[in-house]
Amino acid sequence: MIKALLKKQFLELFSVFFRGKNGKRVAGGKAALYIFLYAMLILMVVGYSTMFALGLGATYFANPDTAWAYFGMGAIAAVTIAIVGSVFMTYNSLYLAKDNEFLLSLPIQSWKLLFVRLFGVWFAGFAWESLVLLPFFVIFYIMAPGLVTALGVVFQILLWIGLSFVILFMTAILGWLIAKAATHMGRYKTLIIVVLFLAGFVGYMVLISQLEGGIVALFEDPEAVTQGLGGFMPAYAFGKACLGSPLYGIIFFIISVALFALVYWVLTITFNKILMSNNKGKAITSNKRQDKQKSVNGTLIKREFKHYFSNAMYILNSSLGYIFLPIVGILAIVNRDAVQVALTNFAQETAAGDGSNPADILMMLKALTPIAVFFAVGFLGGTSVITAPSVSLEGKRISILQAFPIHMKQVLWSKIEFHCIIAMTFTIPSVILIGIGLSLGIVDIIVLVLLSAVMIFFFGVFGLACNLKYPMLNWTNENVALKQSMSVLFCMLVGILAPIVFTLLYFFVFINFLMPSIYLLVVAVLFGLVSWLILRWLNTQGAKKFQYLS
Amino acid sequence: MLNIENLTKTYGEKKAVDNLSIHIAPGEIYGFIGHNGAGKTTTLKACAGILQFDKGEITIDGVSMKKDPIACKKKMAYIPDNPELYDYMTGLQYLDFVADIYGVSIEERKEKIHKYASAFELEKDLPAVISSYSHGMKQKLAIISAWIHSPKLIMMDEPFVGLDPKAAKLLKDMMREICDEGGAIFFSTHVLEVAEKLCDKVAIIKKGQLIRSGTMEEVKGDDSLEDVFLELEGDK
Repeated sequence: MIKALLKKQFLELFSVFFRGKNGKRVAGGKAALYIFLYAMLILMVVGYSTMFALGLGATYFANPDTAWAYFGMGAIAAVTIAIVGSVFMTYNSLYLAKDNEFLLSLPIQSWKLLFVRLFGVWFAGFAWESLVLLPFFVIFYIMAPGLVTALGVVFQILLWIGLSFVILFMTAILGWLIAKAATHMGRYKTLIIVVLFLAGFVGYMVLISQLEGGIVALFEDPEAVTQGLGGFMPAYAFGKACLGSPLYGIIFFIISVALFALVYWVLTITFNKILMSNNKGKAITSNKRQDKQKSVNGTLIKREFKHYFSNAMYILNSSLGYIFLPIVGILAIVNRDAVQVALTNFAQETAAGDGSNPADILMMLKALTPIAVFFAVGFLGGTSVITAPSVSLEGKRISILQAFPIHMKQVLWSKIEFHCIIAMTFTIPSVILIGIGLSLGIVDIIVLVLLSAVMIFFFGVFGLACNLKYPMLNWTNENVALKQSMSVLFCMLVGILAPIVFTLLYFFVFINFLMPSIYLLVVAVLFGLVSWLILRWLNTQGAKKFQYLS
Repeated sequence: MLNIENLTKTYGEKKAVDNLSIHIAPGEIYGFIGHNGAGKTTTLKACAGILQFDKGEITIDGVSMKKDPIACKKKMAYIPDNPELYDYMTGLQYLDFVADIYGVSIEERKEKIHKYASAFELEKDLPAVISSYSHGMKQKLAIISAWIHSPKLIMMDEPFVGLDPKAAKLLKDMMREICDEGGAIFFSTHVLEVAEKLCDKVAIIKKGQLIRSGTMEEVKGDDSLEDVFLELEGDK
């Protein structure tokens, strides 16, 4: 029985690799592309984790007394990534599963159902955790073989599993909070879920900043960081255990198992209630009557707005980068003087190292700042493409639009326009704030604003074209289209790679030929040109494809 | 009003619709019956302009669906078999959305919404979000949205599924009203009693081919439509 249920659960989880939009078997090439894209994503997380571990290792392994902080930081990073990556899956699996009613009608004991559901959630958290934590272990063995003990290895394996129980505990609590918000908050549920998520994320950032006093301090003053982190018992216990402390290892493992038992016990008591309640809560109502006739374009954009603001996952999954951009902008303004001081210090240290003139280095740093801003803004914006899932999200309702007496390029255009409205509202003011905060010249700021606008447009049309190429209309839950769609994955990869490639290209090829602002203008023209070509395709073949998608 | 000439649609090797021709005149309620997978939905979707077809021609009120689909769509409304509506809108917002697309004035839409929503006893539910609606309520909303721009031709795929008897009766009256005003109705159904009582003409389709069509008398003679249908299907 449990085997059959687990098989069903994993088929759902991995269906994207095997079943296409019509439920038919995915062709070998397409499945391979999916696997490749996921492998790239995994490699990227592992890559970032490895870089982080290398940096921390260089700081902490020199002194065996502070080496525990290496694992402490690794555990915090793993828990964060795992929670961000799996909290909505927890919410969906436990509280929104569409087959709850069907399974409840079968002769299956509820504890078995709960076990299977929790197993899926645990597995997702464990997978995310492993992507971060395993590179930490490997780097540890390579960089600090002298600190490796047999007991340490045993506890690393034990706590690797134990930490996944902590993650399960935390995602279950967050999932429950989201479910409560969804049930009781009516029309404000999307807002509340987004705020809850952001509050959790910001809370984590505050925690990290308090522990380490900023990433600069992390590498400049490891002692202070170690002391700060020492006040955070779980991280301290985890770190000590990974170095072979049996006391902390046993305490951590017992507590993590106890947390798992607590989650299982609470859910066992409440699971039937959860299954039998529809969890829809109070229906949202609005008596507001429209008093003016809208244009077709206006009504299509309004529809996009309604859809976007109805689903917290849509907002968070496709525009988290935009939400963080204003924070970066405000931080740049608030820390304006500190940034200048940091740049000056960096220039002086570099000059002291190679005997060059600090003023020259500072001037070069300032000249290169627009490229750095392009990289940061491009990275945050490029990973947030609202159009990438927008065709898939039409689902079976796509026939409503197809049957209307309108040209489908109007529908596609409304999606691009909506993406640009949201993205530019967040990005353009943020870029200006960042520019002012970093004391950039007016020309540099204008170039960056122009480039940002062009890139936003590019990702809007690119995301839409990708989704038309790889639509997923046969979902049972919108979150499947948001999370498991190939177009979203592909856009995210391009969004990550584009700023990296163009930044590296400047530093390795064009740095001696072109001023940063001229280079960025060239990049803007390039993106503009490609956008125009994609738009032409969307207006002709793309619109035709949309008309007959099913 | 609706002319389907030699319509052919294939999915890979399979002919879903094979050289089908149907002519629906203004004022006619035309029923379309056939077993599951016979090609009814494919035909309706092709007529609604949401499915490309391989051969043939479809014209609505003299306008070719291939040449000017937008002009065709302005004259018609289509209700699919399972009304998947925008869950994130309220019923009222959905109707306003459809009315805006068709350019229906505020006064006209208010009047239509009031007329049909009160008849379907849906008026008090219109401010609620569609995700809270039952299947029947969604079907009623889809029907109101189809009627909101006074189309000349309404095509419906299994429109009576999910409707309570009162709503079903009301829908039949609305269908007749459209036809009395010079419009036409083309709908598929498995409920043969409804087809028999309601339709002026009927077409029976089997494996994509039209096997009988005409007025109800021409098709069934003195037998019941059910007997004729089962006989033609080879089940009797």
